[in-house]
Amino acid sequence: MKAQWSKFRPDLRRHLLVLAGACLSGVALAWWWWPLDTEALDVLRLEVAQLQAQTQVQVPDQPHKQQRPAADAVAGDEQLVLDEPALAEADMVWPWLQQRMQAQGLQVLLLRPQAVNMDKGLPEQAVALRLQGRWRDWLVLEEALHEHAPWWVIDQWQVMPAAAQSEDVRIELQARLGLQPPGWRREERQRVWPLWPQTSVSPQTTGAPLFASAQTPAPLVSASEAAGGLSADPRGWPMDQLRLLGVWRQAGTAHAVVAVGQDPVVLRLGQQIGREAFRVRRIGDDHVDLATARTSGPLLHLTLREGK
Amino acid sequence: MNARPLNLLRHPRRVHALAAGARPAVLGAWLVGVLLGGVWGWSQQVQMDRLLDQRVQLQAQSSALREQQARQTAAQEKAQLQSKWGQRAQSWRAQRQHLMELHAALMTQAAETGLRVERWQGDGRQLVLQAWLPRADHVPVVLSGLSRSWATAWTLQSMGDRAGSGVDVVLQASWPAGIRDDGRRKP
Repeated sequence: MKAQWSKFRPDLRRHLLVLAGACLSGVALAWWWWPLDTEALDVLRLEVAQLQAQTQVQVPDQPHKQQRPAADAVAGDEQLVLDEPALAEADMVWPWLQQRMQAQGLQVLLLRPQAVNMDKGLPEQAVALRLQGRWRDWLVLEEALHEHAPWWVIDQWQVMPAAAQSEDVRIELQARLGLQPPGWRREERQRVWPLWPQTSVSPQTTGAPLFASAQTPAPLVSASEAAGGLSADPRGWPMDQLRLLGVWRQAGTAHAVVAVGQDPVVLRLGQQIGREAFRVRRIGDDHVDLATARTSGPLLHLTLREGK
Repeated sequence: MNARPLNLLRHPRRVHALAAGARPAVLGAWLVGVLLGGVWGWSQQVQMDRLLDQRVQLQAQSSALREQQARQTAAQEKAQLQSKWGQRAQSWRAQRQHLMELHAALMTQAAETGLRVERWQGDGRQLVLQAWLPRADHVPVVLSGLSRSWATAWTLQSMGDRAGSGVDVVLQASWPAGIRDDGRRKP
Protein backbone atom coordinates (compact mmCIF):
# COMPACT_ATOMS: atom_id res chain seq x y z
CA MET A 1 0.00 0.00 0.00
CA LYS A 2 2.77 2.29 0.99
CA ALA A 3 4.72 1.24 -2.12
CA GLN A 4 1.75 2.00 -4.30
CA TRP A 5 1.33 5.34 -2.59
CA SER A 6 4.97 6.21 -3.28
CA LYS A 7 4.46 5.48 -6.95
CA PHE A 8 2.40 8.63 -7.20
CA ARG A 9 4.19 11.78 -8.03
CA PRO A 10 4.87 14.02 -5.05
CA ASP A 11 2.67 16.80 -6.32
CA LEU A 12 -0.19 14.29 -6.91
CA ARG A 13 0.21 12.88 -3.43
CA ARG A 14 0.09 16.33 -2.01
CA HIS A 15 -2.98 16.99 -4.06
CA LEU A 16 -4.76 13.91 -2.84
CA LEU A 17 -3.89 14.70 0.76
CA VAL A 18 -5.27 18.16 0.39
CA LEU A 19 -8.46 16.78 -1.12
CA ALA A 20 -8.86 14.20 1.65
CA GLY A 21 -8.27 16.86 4.26
CA ALA A 22 -10.89 19.06 2.66
CA CYS A 23 -13.37 16.16 2.60
CA LEU A 24 -12.76 15.32 6.22
CA SER A 25 -13.13 18.92 7.23
CA GLY A 26 -16.44 18.94 5.41
CA VAL A 27 -17.57 15.82 7.27
CA ALA A 28 -16.45 17.34 10.54
CA LEU A 29 -18.35 20.50 9.80
CA ALA A 30 -21.50 18.55 9.02
CA TRP A 31 -21.08 16.53 12.18
CA TRP A 32 -20.59 19.68 14.19
CA TRP A 33 -23.55 21.33 12.59
CA TRP A 34 -25.80 18.23 13.08
CA PRO A 35 -24.82 16.79 16.45
CA LEU A 36 -26.21 13.35 17.38
CA ASP A 37 -26.08 11.59 20.75
CA THR A 38 -24.97 8.15 19.69
CA GLU A 39 -25.15 6.91 23.28
CA ALA A 40 -28.83 7.85 23.50
CA LEU A 41 -29.39 6.10 20.20
CA ASP A 42 -27.86 2.90 21.58
CA VAL A 43 -30.02 3.11 24.71
CA LEU A 44 -33.07 3.59 22.56
CA ARG A 45 -32.18 0.59 20.41
CA LEU A 46 -31.83 -1.57 23.54
CA GLU A 47 -35.12 -0.33 24.95
CA VAL A 48 -36.95 -1.08 21.72
CA ALA A 49 -35.44 -4.56 21.57
CA GLN A 50 -36.66 -5.26 25.13
CA LEU A 51 -40.15 -4.02 24.35
CA GLN A 52 -40.25 -6.19 21.24
CA ALA A 53 -39.29 -9.21 23.31
CA GLN A 54 -42.04 -8.42 25.83
CA THR A 55 -44.76 -7.98 23.28
CA GLN A 56 -43.77 -11.14 21.45
CA VAL A 57 -44.81 -13.13 24.54
CA GLN A 58 -48.35 -13.94 23.55
CA VAL A 59 -51.14 -14.19 26.11
CA PRO A 60 -52.07 -17.88 26.36
CA ASP A 61 -55.58 -18.62 25.16
CA GLN A 62 -55.86 -21.62 27.47
CA PRO A 63 -57.59 -19.82 30.33
CA HIS A 64 -60.44 -18.91 28.00
CA LYS A 65 -60.86 -22.53 27.08
CA GLN A 66 -60.60 -23.68 30.67
CA GLN A 67 -63.13 -21.30 32.09
CA ARG A 68 -65.77 -22.14 29.51
CA PRO A 69 -66.72 -25.59 30.85
CA ALA A 70 -66.93 -24.18 34.35
CA ALA A 71 -69.15 -21.37 33.14
CA ASP A 72 -71.31 -23.85 31.23
CA ALA A 73 -71.63 -26.06 34.27
CA VAL A 74 -72.77 -23.14 36.34
CA ALA A 75 -75.14 -21.71 33.77
CA GLY A 76 -77.97 -23.83 35.10
CA ASP A 77 -77.45 -22.53 38.59
CA GLU A 78 -76.90 -18.93 37.59
CA GLN A 79 -80.40 -17.81 38.39
CA LEU A 80 -80.29 -19.79 41.59
CA VAL A 81 -77.09 -18.24 42.86
CA LEU A 82 -77.85 -14.73 41.63
CA ASP A 83 -80.98 -14.85 43.71
CA GLU A 84 -78.98 -15.23 46.89
CA PRO A 85 -78.97 -12.22 49.19
CA ALA A 86 -76.12 -9.80 48.74
CA LEU A 87 -73.76 -9.06 51.60
CA ALA A 88 -75.52 -5.79 52.29
CA GLU A 89 -78.84 -7.60 52.53
CA ALA A 90 -77.69 -10.13 55.12
CA ASP A 91 -79.18 -8.15 57.98
CA MET A 92 -82.57 -8.08 56.30
CA VAL A 93 -82.77 -11.85 56.02
CA TRP A 94 -83.32 -12.57 59.68
CA PRO A 95 -86.41 -10.43 60.34
CA TRP A 96 -87.91 -11.83 57.15
CA LEU A 97 -87.08 -15.40 58.19
CA GLN A 98 -88.50 -14.86 61.66
CA GLN A 99 -91.66 -13.48 60.15
CA ARG A 100 -92.01 -16.48 57.83
CA MET A 101 -91.49 -18.92 60.69
CA GLN A 102 -94.05 -17.20 62.84
CA ALA A 103 -96.46 -17.05 59.93
CA GLN A 104 -96.15 -20.82 59.69
CA GLY A 105 -97.07 -21.16 63.34
CA LEU A 106 -93.60 -21.75 64.72
CA GLN A 107 -92.44 -19.93 67.79
CA VAL A 108 -88.95 -18.49 67.45
CA LEU A 109 -87.24 -18.91 70.81
CA LEU A 110 -83.76 -18.02 69.61
CA LEU A 111 -82.32 -16.56 66.43
CA ARG A 112 -78.66 -15.74 66.70
CA PRO A 113 -76.80 -14.90 63.49
CA GLN A 114 -73.03 -15.19 63.58
CA ALA A 115 -70.51 -13.05 61.75
CA VAL A 116 -70.24 -13.38 57.99
CA ASN A 117 -67.54 -15.85 57.08
CA MET A 118 -65.74 -16.35 53.76
CA ASP A 119 -65.45 -19.95 52.65
CA LYS A 120 -63.44 -20.42 49.42
CA GLY A 121 -64.22 -16.84 48.47
CA LEU A 122 -67.94 -17.27 49.06
CA PRO A 123 -69.54 -15.41 51.94
CA GLU A 124 -71.88 -17.24 54.24
CA GLN A 125 -73.42 -16.55 57.59
CA ALA A 126 -74.07 -19.14 60.25
CA VAL A 127 -77.13 -18.88 62.46
CA ALA A 128 -78.29 -20.65 65.58
CA LEU A 129 -82.05 -21.21 65.80
CA ARG A 130 -84.36 -22.58 68.43
CA LEU A 131 -87.97 -23.06 67.48
CA GLN A 132 -91.03 -24.59 69.00
CA GLY A 133 -94.14 -25.72 67.22
CA ARG A 134 -95.74 -28.57 65.39
CA TRP A 135 -93.42 -30.84 63.42
CA ARG A 136 -95.70 -30.74 60.42
CA ASP A 137 -95.47 -26.94 60.38
CA TRP A 138 -91.73 -27.24 60.27
CA LEU A 139 -92.00 -29.65 57.35
CA VAL A 140 -94.16 -27.19 55.46
CA LEU A 141 -91.73 -24.37 56.18
CA GLU A 142 -88.78 -26.53 55.17
CA GLU A 143 -90.43 -27.27 51.86
CA ALA A 144 -91.40 -23.65 51.25
CA LEU A 145 -87.91 -22.38 52.04
CA HIS A 146 -86.44 -24.97 49.72
CA GLU A 147 -88.69 -23.74 46.95
CA HIS A 148 -88.73 -19.98 47.50
CA ALA A 149 -85.48 -19.24 49.32
CA PRO A 150 -82.97 -21.93 48.45
CA TRP A 151 -79.91 -20.23 49.92
CA TRP A 152 -79.41 -22.13 53.13
CA VAL A 153 -78.30 -25.44 54.49
CA ILE A 154 -78.72 -27.09 57.87
CA ASP A 155 -75.48 -28.21 59.46
CA GLN A 156 -76.72 -29.62 62.76
CA TRP A 157 -80.11 -30.21 64.26
CA GLN A 158 -81.85 -31.74 67.21
CA VAL A 159 -85.59 -32.24 67.45
CA MET A 160 -87.35 -33.40 70.58
CA PRO A 161 -90.92 -33.39 71.79
CA ALA A 162 -91.57 -30.19 73.70
CA ALA A 163 -93.92 -31.67 76.30
CA ALA A 164 -95.55 -34.95 77.19
CA GLN A 165 -99.12 -34.11 76.22
CA SER A 166 -98.32 -31.83 73.34
CA GLU A 167 -97.84 -32.17 69.62
CA ASP A 168 -95.16 -29.50 69.73
CA VAL A 169 -91.51 -30.19 69.18
CA ARG A 170 -88.48 -28.18 70.07
CA ILE A 171 -86.13 -27.72 67.13
CA GLU A 172 -82.56 -26.58 67.56
CA LEU A 173 -80.67 -25.79 64.42
CA GLN A 174 -77.29 -24.68 63.23
CA ALA A 175 -77.71 -23.46 59.69
CA ARG A 176 -75.79 -21.45 57.13
CA LEU A 177 -77.08 -18.75 54.85
CA GLY A 178 -75.35 -18.41 51.48
CA LEU A 179 -74.60 -14.89 50.31
CA GLN A 180 -73.48 -13.45 47.00
CA PRO A 181 -69.79 -12.64 46.64
CA PRO A 182 -69.10 -8.90 46.91
CA GLY A 183 -69.67 -6.88 43.76
CA TRP A 184 -71.37 -9.64 41.88
CA ARG A 185 -74.90 -8.43 41.45
CA ARG A 186 -75.37 -7.50 37.81
CA GLU A 187 -78.26 -5.14 38.07
CA GLU A 188 -79.30 -2.93 40.89
CA ARG A 189 -82.83 -3.87 41.64
CA GLN A 190 -84.89 -3.80 44.75
CA ARG A 191 -84.99 -7.24 46.31
CA VAL A 192 -88.40 -8.66 46.86
CA TRP A 193 -88.27 -11.08 49.75
CA PRO A 194 -90.29 -14.15 48.90
CA LEU A 195 -93.62 -14.55 50.57
CA TRP A 196 -95.94 -17.49 50.38
CA PRO A 197 -99.29 -18.15 51.96
CA GLN A 198 -99.37 -20.27 55.03
CA THR A 199 -100.14 -23.53 53.37
CA SER A 200 -102.09 -26.27 54.90
CA VAL A 201 -100.21 -29.43 55.57
CA SER A 202 -99.03 -31.29 52.52
CA PRO A 203 -99.90 -34.96 51.96
CA GLN A 204 -96.44 -35.86 53.20
CA THR A 205 -97.03 -34.23 56.55
CA THR A 206 -100.43 -35.59 57.30
CA GLY A 207 -101.05 -38.75 59.24
CA ALA A 208 -99.89 -39.98 62.56
CA PRO A 209 -97.80 -37.70 64.72
CA LEU A 210 -94.13 -38.49 64.42
CA PHE A 211 -92.83 -37.14 67.68
CA ALA A 212 -93.87 -38.31 71.12
CA SER A 213 -92.14 -38.19 74.41
CA ALA A 214 -91.63 -41.37 76.37
CA GLN A 215 -94.65 -42.07 78.57
CA THR A 216 -92.69 -44.40 80.75
CA PRO A 217 -89.11 -43.39 80.33
CA ALA A 218 -86.91 -46.39 80.19
CA PRO A 219 -83.18 -46.04 79.86
CA LEU A 220 -81.99 -47.17 76.50
CA VAL A 221 -79.63 -50.04 76.76
CA SER A 222 -77.82 -52.04 74.21
CA ALA A 223 -79.72 -55.00 72.82
CA SER A 224 -77.07 -57.31 74.18
CA GLU A 225 -77.64 -55.84 77.62
CA ALA A 226 -81.42 -55.96 77.44
CA ALA A 227 -81.85 -59.47 78.70
CA GLY A 228 -84.08 -58.58 81.63
CA GLY A 229 -83.82 -61.16 84.33
CA LEU A 230 -81.67 -63.29 82.11
CA SER A 231 -78.02 -62.88 81.42
CA ALA A 232 -77.08 -60.07 79.05
CA ASP A 233 -75.12 -62.61 77.07
CA PRO A 234 -77.47 -64.54 74.72
CA ARG A 235 -75.18 -67.54 75.06
CA GLY A 236 -76.80 -68.13 78.43
CA TRP A 237 -80.38 -68.01 77.17
CA PRO A 238 -82.76 -71.00 77.23
CA MET A 239 -83.42 -72.01 73.65
CA ASP A 240 -86.93 -73.30 74.30
CA GLN A 241 -88.12 -69.71 74.91
CA LEU A 242 -86.44 -68.23 71.88
CA ARG A 243 -88.65 -66.46 69.30
CA LEU A 244 -87.85 -64.81 65.98
CA LEU A 245 -89.10 -61.22 65.89
CA GLY A 246 -87.76 -60.01 62.56
CA VAL A 247 -85.23 -60.35 59.78
CA TRP A 248 -83.56 -57.69 57.67
CA ARG A 249 -80.59 -57.28 55.42
CA GLN A 250 -78.17 -54.45 55.81
CA ALA A 251 -75.23 -53.87 53.48
CA GLY A 252 -75.61 -57.42 52.19
CA THR A 253 -75.53 -58.93 55.67
CA ALA A 254 -78.59 -60.64 57.09
CA HIS A 255 -79.63 -59.90 60.66
CA ALA A 256 -82.22 -61.55 62.81
CA VAL A 257 -83.96 -60.10 65.84
CA VAL A 258 -84.70 -62.82 68.36
CA ALA A 259 -85.97 -62.60 71.89
CA VAL A 260 -86.58 -64.53 75.01
CA GLY A 261 -89.77 -63.12 76.45
CA GLN A 262 -89.61 -59.37 75.76
CA ASP A 263 -85.86 -59.17 75.49
CA PRO A 264 -84.71 -58.89 71.88
CA VAL A 265 -81.20 -59.33 70.54
CA VAL A 266 -79.77 -58.99 67.04
CA LEU A 267 -77.99 -62.02 65.60
CA ARG A 268 -75.65 -62.40 62.67
CA LEU A 269 -74.49 -65.51 60.84
CA GLY A 270 -72.17 -67.65 62.94
CA GLN A 271 -73.10 -66.01 66.20
CA GLN A 272 -73.43 -68.31 69.17
CA ILE A 273 -76.60 -68.38 71.27
CA GLY A 274 -78.16 -70.53 73.96
CA ARG A 275 -76.85 -72.78 76.66
CA GLU A 276 -76.61 -75.58 74.10
CA ALA A 277 -74.10 -73.52 72.09
CA PHE A 278 -76.22 -73.11 68.99
CA ARG A 279 -74.81 -71.09 66.11
CA VAL A 280 -76.72 -69.20 63.47
CA ARG A 281 -76.34 -71.24 60.29
CA ARG A 282 -78.72 -69.48 57.97
CA ILE A 283 -80.88 -66.38 58.00
CA GLY A 284 -83.67 -66.45 55.45
CA ASP A 285 -86.29 -63.87 54.61
CA ASP A 286 -88.65 -65.16 57.29
CA HIS A 287 -86.73 -67.79 59.19
CA VAL A 288 -83.47 -68.54 60.97
CA ASP A 289 -81.69 -71.90 61.21
CA LEU A 290 -79.57 -72.62 64.23
CA ALA A 291 -77.44 -75.69 64.80
CA THR A 292 -74.91 -76.94 67.28
CA ALA A 293 -71.32 -77.59 66.36
CA ARG A 294 -71.89 -81.33 66.40
CA THR A 295 -73.03 -82.68 63.06
CA SER A 296 -75.47 -85.03 64.73
CA GLY A 297 -76.76 -82.27 66.98
CA PRO A 298 -80.28 -80.82 66.86
CA LEU A 299 -81.29 -78.24 64.26
CA LEU A 300 -83.49 -75.37 65.36
CA HIS A 301 -85.72 -73.64 62.81
CA LEU A 302 -87.24 -70.32 63.88
CA THR A 303 -89.86 -68.73 61.70
CA LEU A 304 -91.67 -65.46 61.98
CA ARG A 305 -95.18 -66.94 62.09
CA GLU A 306 -94.92 -69.94 64.25
CA GLY A 307 -92.34 -68.36 66.46
CA LYS A 308 -90.40 -71.56 66.75
CA MET B 1 30.66 25.59 1.64
CA ASN B 2 28.92 25.80 -1.68
CA ALA B 3 25.25 26.08 -1.13
CA ARG B 4 22.76 25.86 -3.89
CA PRO B 5 21.22 29.23 -4.55
CA LEU B 6 17.52 29.55 -3.96
CA ASN B 7 15.63 31.05 -6.82
CA LEU B 8 13.09 33.08 -5.05
CA LEU B 9 11.51 34.12 -8.31
CA ARG B 10 10.52 30.59 -9.29
CA HIS B 11 9.63 29.01 -5.98
CA PRO B 12 6.61 31.13 -5.06
CA ARG B 13 5.38 30.69 -8.57
CA ARG B 14 5.21 26.89 -8.27
CA VAL B 15 3.42 27.06 -4.97
CA HIS B 16 0.92 29.49 -6.35
CA ALA B 17 0.35 27.29 -9.38
CA LEU B 18 -0.47 24.24 -7.19
CA ALA B 19 -2.90 26.14 -4.99
CA ALA B 20 -4.60 27.75 -7.91
CA GLY B 21 -5.13 24.44 -9.70
CA ALA B 22 -6.29 22.59 -6.65
CA ARG B 23 -8.73 25.17 -5.35
CA PRO B 24 -11.86 23.89 -7.15
CA ALA B 25 -10.97 20.34 -6.37
CA VAL B 26 -10.43 21.16 -2.70
CA LEU B 27 -13.68 22.98 -2.61
CA GLY B 28 -15.37 20.04 -4.25
CA ALA B 29 -13.80 17.64 -1.79
CA TRP B 30 -14.89 19.79 1.07
CA LEU B 31 -18.44 19.90 -0.28
CA VAL B 32 -18.42 16.16 -0.74
CA GLY B 33 -17.28 15.85 2.86
CA VAL B 34 -20.06 18.13 4.01
CA LEU B 35 -22.53 16.12 1.95
CA LEU B 36 -21.32 12.79 3.31
CA GLY B 37 -21.40 14.10 6.86
CA GLY B 38 -24.88 15.48 6.31
CA VAL B 39 -26.17 12.26 4.81
CA TRP B 40 -24.75 10.28 7.69
CA GLY B 41 -26.20 12.62 10.27
CA TRP B 42 -29.53 12.64 8.47
CA SER B 43 -29.60 8.84 8.39
CA GLN B 44 -28.87 8.72 12.12
CA GLN B 45 -31.62 11.22 12.80
CA VAL B 46 -34.04 9.21 10.68
CA GLN B 47 -33.09 6.09 12.59
CA MET B 48 -33.59 7.89 15.89
CA ASP B 49 -37.03 9.09 14.84
CA ARG B 50 -37.98 5.63 13.66
CA LEU B 51 -36.89 4.08 16.97
CA LEU B 52 -38.82 6.67 18.95
CA ASP B 53 -41.95 5.93 16.97
CA GLN B 54 -41.40 2.23 17.41
CA ARG B 55 -40.93 2.67 21.15
CA VAL B 56 -44.22 4.55 21.45
CA GLN B 57 -46.02 1.83 19.52
CA LEU B 58 -44.43 -0.96 21.53
CA GLN B 59 -45.21 0.75 24.80
CA ALA B 60 -48.84 1.07 23.81
CA GLN B 61 -48.87 -2.54 22.67
CA SER B 62 -47.28 -3.69 25.90
CA SER B 63 -49.75 -1.70 27.95
CA ALA B 64 -52.67 -3.15 26.00
CA LEU B 65 -51.24 -6.61 26.48
CA ARG B 66 -50.96 -6.11 30.23
CA GLU B 67 -54.54 -4.89 30.36
CA GLN B 68 -55.65 -7.89 28.35
CA GLN B 69 -53.80 -10.23 30.68
CA ALA B 70 -55.34 -8.53 33.70
CA ARG B 71 -58.79 -8.85 32.15
CA GLN B 72 -58.20 -12.51 31.40
CA THR B 73 -56.99 -13.18 34.94
CA ALA B 74 -60.00 -11.37 36.37
CA ALA B 75 -62.34 -13.29 34.07
CA GLN B 76 -60.71 -16.56 35.05
CA GLU B 77 -61.02 -15.79 38.76
CA LYS B 78 -64.62 -14.79 38.26
CA ALA B 79 -65.37 -18.02 36.41
CA GLN B 80 -63.74 -20.07 39.17
CA LEU B 81 -65.71 -18.24 41.83
CA GLN B 82 -68.90 -18.73 39.87
CA SER B 83 -68.13 -22.41 39.54
CA LYS B 84 -67.60 -22.76 43.29
CA TRP B 85 -70.76 -20.79 43.86
CA GLY B 86 -72.78 -23.09 41.64
CA GLN B 87 -71.26 -26.14 43.32
CA ARG B 88 -72.22 -24.79 46.71
CA ALA B 89 -75.78 -24.19 45.56
CA GLN B 90 -76.01 -27.69 44.10
CA SER B 91 -74.52 -29.30 47.20
CA TRP B 92 -76.85 -27.44 49.54
CA ARG B 93 -79.85 -28.21 47.38
CA ALA B 94 -78.98 -31.92 47.40
CA GLN B 95 -78.62 -31.89 51.18
CA ARG B 96 -81.97 -30.21 51.67
CA GLN B 97 -83.67 -32.61 49.29
CA HIS B 98 -82.18 -35.65 50.99
CA LEU B 99 -83.26 -34.40 54.37
CA MET B 100 -86.78 -33.68 53.18
CA GLU B 101 -87.03 -37.14 51.67
CA LEU B 102 -85.89 -38.60 54.96
CA HIS B 103 -88.49 -36.59 56.85
CA ALA B 104 -91.15 -37.87 54.48
CA ALA B 105 -89.93 -41.43 55.10
CA LEU B 106 -90.14 -40.86 58.85
CA MET B 107 -93.73 -39.69 58.49
CA THR B 108 -94.51 -42.78 56.42
CA GLN B 109 -92.99 -45.03 59.05
CA ALA B 110 -94.95 -43.23 61.75
CA ALA B 111 -98.14 -44.01 59.88
CA GLU B 112 -97.26 -47.58 58.93
CA THR B 113 -95.41 -48.91 61.97
CA GLY B 114 -96.43 -46.53 64.71
CA LEU B 115 -92.91 -45.12 65.00
CA ARG B 116 -92.67 -42.33 67.55
CA VAL B 117 -89.50 -40.27 67.62
CA GLU B 118 -88.16 -39.06 70.93
CA ARG B 119 -84.98 -37.48 69.63
CA TRP B 120 -83.92 -36.76 66.08
CA GLN B 121 -80.51 -35.28 65.62
CA GLY B 122 -77.81 -34.95 63.03
CA ASP B 123 -74.47 -33.36 62.55
CA GLY B 124 -71.68 -33.49 60.05
CA ARG B 125 -70.94 -37.15 60.61
CA GLN B 126 -74.06 -39.04 61.51
CA LEU B 127 -77.78 -39.02 62.02
CA VAL B 128 -79.25 -40.52 65.15
CA LEU B 129 -82.88 -41.40 65.67
CA GLN B 130 -84.04 -42.32 69.14
CA ALA B 131 -87.53 -43.68 68.89
CA TRP B 132 -90.19 -46.04 70.15
CA LEU B 133 -91.87 -48.80 68.19
CA PRO B 134 -94.96 -50.70 69.29
CA ARG B 135 -93.49 -53.99 68.09
CA ALA B 136 -89.94 -55.24 67.88
CA ASP B 137 -90.56 -56.91 64.53
CA HIS B 138 -91.10 -53.45 63.04
CA VAL B 139 -87.44 -52.63 63.52
CA PRO B 140 -86.35 -54.22 60.23
CA VAL B 141 -89.24 -52.52 58.44
CA VAL B 142 -88.24 -49.12 59.75
CA LEU B 143 -84.57 -49.73 58.97
CA SER B 144 -85.24 -50.76 55.42
CA GLY B 145 -87.73 -47.92 54.94
CA LEU B 146 -85.26 -45.32 56.13
CA SER B 147 -82.39 -46.86 54.19
CA ARG B 148 -84.41 -46.58 51.00
CA SER B 149 -84.67 -42.82 51.55
CA TRP B 150 -81.06 -42.26 52.46
CA ALA B 151 -77.87 -42.89 50.56
CA THR B 152 -76.28 -44.89 53.37
CA ALA B 153 -77.77 -47.76 55.33
CA TRP B 154 -79.46 -47.22 58.66
CA THR B 155 -78.28 -49.49 61.46
CA LEU B 156 -79.70 -50.50 64.78
CA GLN B 157 -77.46 -49.27 67.54
CA SER B 158 -79.45 -50.40 70.52
CA MET B 159 -82.82 -51.79 71.40
CA GLY B 160 -84.58 -52.05 74.74
CA ASP B 161 -87.91 -53.24 76.05
CA ARG B 162 -90.29 -50.72 77.52
CA ALA B 163 -92.14 -52.73 80.15
CA GLY B 164 -94.01 -54.86 77.70
CA SER B 165 -95.28 -51.97 75.57
CA GLY B 166 -93.08 -51.83 72.55
CA VAL B 167 -89.37 -51.29 72.18
CA ASP B 168 -87.08 -48.32 72.39
CA VAL B 169 -84.57 -48.21 69.58
CA VAL B 170 -81.64 -46.08 68.60
CA LEU B 171 -81.01 -46.05 64.87
CA GLN B 172 -78.04 -44.50 63.20
CA ALA B 173 -76.82 -43.59 59.71
CA SER B 174 -73.81 -41.75 58.40
CA TRP B 175 -73.79 -38.78 56.07
CA PRO B 176 -73.17 -39.89 52.51
CA ALA B 177 -69.93 -38.43 51.20
CA GLY B 178 -71.58 -37.37 47.96
CA ILE B 179 -73.98 -34.92 49.52
CA ARG B 180 -71.96 -33.81 52.49
CA ASP B 181 -70.64 -30.30 52.46
CA ASP B 182 -67.17 -31.16 53.75
CA GLY B 183 -66.24 -27.54 54.23
CA ARG B 184 -68.25 -27.06 57.38
CA ARG B 185 -69.99 -30.19 58.55
CA LYS B 186 -67.59 -30.87 61.36
CA PRO B 187 -69.19 -31.00 64.75
